[in-house]
Amino acid sequence: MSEQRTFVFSVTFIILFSVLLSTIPTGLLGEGANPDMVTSVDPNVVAGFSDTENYQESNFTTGLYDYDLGGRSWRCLGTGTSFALVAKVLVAGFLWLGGLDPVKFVSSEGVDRGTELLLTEIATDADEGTISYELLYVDTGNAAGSFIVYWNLTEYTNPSNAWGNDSLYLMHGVGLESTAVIDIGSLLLDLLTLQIPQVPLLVNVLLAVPIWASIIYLIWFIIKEMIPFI
Amino acid sequence: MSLENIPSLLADVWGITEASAQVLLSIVVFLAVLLPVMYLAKGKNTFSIVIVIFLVELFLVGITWLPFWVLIATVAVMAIAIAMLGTNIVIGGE
Repeated sequence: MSEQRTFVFSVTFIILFSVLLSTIPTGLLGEGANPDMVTSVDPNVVAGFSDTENYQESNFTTGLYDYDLGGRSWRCLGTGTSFALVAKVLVAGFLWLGGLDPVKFVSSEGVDRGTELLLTEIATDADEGTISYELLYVDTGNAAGSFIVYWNLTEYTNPSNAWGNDSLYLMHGVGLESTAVIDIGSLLLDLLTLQIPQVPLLVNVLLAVPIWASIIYLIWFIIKEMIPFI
Repeated sequence: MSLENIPSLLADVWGITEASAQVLLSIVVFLAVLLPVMYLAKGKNTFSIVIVIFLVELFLVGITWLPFWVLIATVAVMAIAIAMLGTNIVIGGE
């Protein structure tokens, strides 16, 4: 009776945990997506932002690309070997007198790349042709969203080649997406393999232990019940 | 100024870390919402209290005052509690 009780509890717990977890909006995972959530050459699949701006080499005019995002006017400076991103400081909300609010790039490994991001640094930081940088305003240290760089690794071995062929994709994303739900599969996998991003390992272990215990008990119970009939 | 910046402002004013300010402010929000709900529930409607806790946590994680794993932990605790309840109903209490 006690074994059946534990079996029912384990099944109910795993199902309930998965269902409850899947109802959490994906944006609550944090600002922007992590590189694992990005599929190369398709900017539309990036989840987690409330607003995004996608661009590539052909969008730049004399090394500059201007756009509005998240209530601010932005300028990306691309030299062919590096990028810099600045927000325009507007007087009275519309008049730009040349004031700039630069941002710095921090890689997903926590490496501060400063205000100028080199293509060679992108090649170093990228994993499977994708890298997401956290953007921080230099003056205040406040978050300015994420800057995702990706390219098709099978066509171009490094970002410099991709950039020269207009195939290096840049994406600036801000805000939190509140409608899409979490990718329950990848989150559970991260949880069970103790790899949830930005979660301390000890906390991850504490969260994973009851799930692993339930799974192992289920497997043991099913095998035990089946053996007499083999 | 946005809600997300309040902890860093408080941290600057009080000279504490931003993480401490986030936790402190989260506790204040929790108490401000939970105490009236607990009073109204009069110690009976536990389920409604759990729902309120979950909603407040969603909000606090959304404005980045609390880390995401707090939500996962809450979901795990809720799943354990409901699973125990369900097991008692199906198998019978011991």
